[in-house]
Amino acid sequence: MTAKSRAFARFRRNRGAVLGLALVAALVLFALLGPLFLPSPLTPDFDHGRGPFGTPSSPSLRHPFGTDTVFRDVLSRLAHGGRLSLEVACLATFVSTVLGAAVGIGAGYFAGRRVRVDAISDALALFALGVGGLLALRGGGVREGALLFAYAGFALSFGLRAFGGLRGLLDKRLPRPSGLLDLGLGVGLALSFHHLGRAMGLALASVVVRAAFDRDQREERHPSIDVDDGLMRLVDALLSFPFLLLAMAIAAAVDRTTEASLFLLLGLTAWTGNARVVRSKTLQIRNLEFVVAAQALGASTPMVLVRHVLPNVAGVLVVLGTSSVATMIVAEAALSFLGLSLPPPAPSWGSMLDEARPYFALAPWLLAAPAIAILLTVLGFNLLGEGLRDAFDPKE
Amino acid sequence: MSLLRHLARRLAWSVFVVFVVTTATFALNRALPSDPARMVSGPQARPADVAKIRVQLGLDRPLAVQYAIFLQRIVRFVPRGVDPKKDPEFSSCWVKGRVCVDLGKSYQLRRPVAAVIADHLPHTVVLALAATTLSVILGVGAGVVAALRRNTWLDATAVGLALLGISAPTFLLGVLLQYVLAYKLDLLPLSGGGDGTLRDGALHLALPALTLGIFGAAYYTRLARDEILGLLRLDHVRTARAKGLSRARVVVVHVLRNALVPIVTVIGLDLGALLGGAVITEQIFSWPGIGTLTVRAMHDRDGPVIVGTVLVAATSVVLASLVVDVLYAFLDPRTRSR
Repeated sequence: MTAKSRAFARFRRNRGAVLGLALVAALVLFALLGPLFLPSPLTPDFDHGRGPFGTPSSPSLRHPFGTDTVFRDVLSRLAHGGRLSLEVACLATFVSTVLGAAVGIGAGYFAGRRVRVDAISDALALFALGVGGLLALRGGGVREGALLFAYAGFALSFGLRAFGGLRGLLDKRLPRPSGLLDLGLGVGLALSFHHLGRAMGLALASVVVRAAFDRDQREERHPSIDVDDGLMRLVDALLSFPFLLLAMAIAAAVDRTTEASLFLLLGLTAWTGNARVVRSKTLQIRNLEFVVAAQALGASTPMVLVRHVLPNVAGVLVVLGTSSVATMIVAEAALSFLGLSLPPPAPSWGSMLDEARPYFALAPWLLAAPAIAILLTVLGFNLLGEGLRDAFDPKE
Repeated sequence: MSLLRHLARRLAWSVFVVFVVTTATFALNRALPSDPARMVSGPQARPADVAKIRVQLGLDRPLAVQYAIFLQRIVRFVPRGVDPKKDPEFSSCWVKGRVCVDLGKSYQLRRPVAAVIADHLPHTVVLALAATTLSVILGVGAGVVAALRRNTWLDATAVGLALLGISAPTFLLGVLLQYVLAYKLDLLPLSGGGDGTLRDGALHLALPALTLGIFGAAYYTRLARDEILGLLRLDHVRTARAKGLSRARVVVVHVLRNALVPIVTVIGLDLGALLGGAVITEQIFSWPGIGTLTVRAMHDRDGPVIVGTVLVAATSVVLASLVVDVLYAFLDPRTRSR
């Protein structure tokens, strides 16, 4: 029996995992097909959906889950909300898994290799210059998000430059003038930029000044950091910030939330945990015989990464991704519960739950429908994720 | 010596992280599309007045200068002979003795941010401690029992309930508990922070603490069970049993003590996160803590309050991980050498 079919057999024997798969499949079908058959989630049904005193009508044949306070069909809203939740959660999971895998594999595989601080700083400055340039060309539309990226790029670049300079000054083996130059540039730039135009000019100037005055290109003459160390420090710093709070802060800062900004926001804030797990797995893999053998036989780095490392991390990624969908569904629901997700009238499970709260004495079904939907979905993805973990990586 | 060095490094790193988080929040807030000067002056104000208020708030200056001023003013000392209540220089201060903590003034509440936080923080601390106590007792207890009675109905019940618990997010659990315990059975008050008396406060605390407690307990059950099952398989445990030690002694000395390290780590980190404000739970029960304050500030785009609450949250998270690190060094001497 191959490893794959053994994993499949283990999965099939696990009753919880099969139940999870069934729940997830049922949800996907409901969210995809439901909207085709159900009435519109936005149109009120004044004729049959209104109770005796203008109250929402309780579950009936026409409206199996009743109607809400403006007489819209709850079942239909549930299906549309499910489609939205699932879409956002899956896209966010995709973003966070890809990003986490890239950083994790990078950190794990290249651990021990050092990169020059000023090179990173220059790269970041060029990236921010690119984004800034695009903004200057396009203007309007995408401004806010992109502006944030440009600013973050500049700030990181200048901060790193100052950090590299400080390291250079403290280390006796490194040349002093170059350290001073970096420190001066970094601090000066960080203090003086507050406008995109000026920051772009400064960044360009710093890259040019470096190229013109710092001619000594020998590796050991420049401050450097370990790839793994640097990336994991970054991950630690991001992890020390509560995920939901970060998402909330950004959601509040974005002017009008759209589906795209929502999944990007969730994906870009949640990748850190994945990066950690993938890194430790990669660290294990890179010392295994077949990887060392491939390297010895002269396989290129991309080849080793794609043919040998990636397939062995894939199992971990699938497991992480599955439970991440559950986390994302909860996070999206939490954001809409707090009124920071998509604006009404778009139905979402979180906002349905929030809207139902004031009426729970009058119309408890409004509360029960989204609550049960969220519970079953999250349960399904959790069971599935655990089943997959046990199938891929049996402990006993 | 190496322990001290390790701690000094960790402390420096923690300060750096808090600084970065605060800086990022500050920058993010100034990137908001809404105009604070307009918010303070109201929708009816004339443009000239709005411009005047913008200058008053210092919003006409470069962002970096605004930030430098913000940092400079965070902690100040009130000179002798100056009454901080009357001096406009200290109008955005929360004064304790002769020390003034200044995080700026809330746009909406027109009160010093530090004072608003000082009002809300005790509620959050009480809630966090109550919830953590509850989840440790329930969760670790259930986890230990489940692991020691493996494959019995007790184990199955604990595992099933824990799975259900981690699948029910706090907003769901909270609303359901509110519906059943407060509305249907009328055992506990629906929401709010109580009227100030100890008895009433405790009654109001019960539901939010229960919500967070049950949610945390589900995690701890799984964590404790997995940890202990892993340890029970180890050689030293088998040896201890084989040399004739009683089962109770083996469990307490050789298993529970070792399981403590990872469990304490997670509890510490969770407590840190809770101290930053249990946003959703506090919101459901209108518990007047940092979380409720954060949500309100975000809806109102009240920049200074957002920066203040994020500062509190980041500090408590970072501090908790620092404390956990120190505890780790005591509980597990191996980590000291690294």
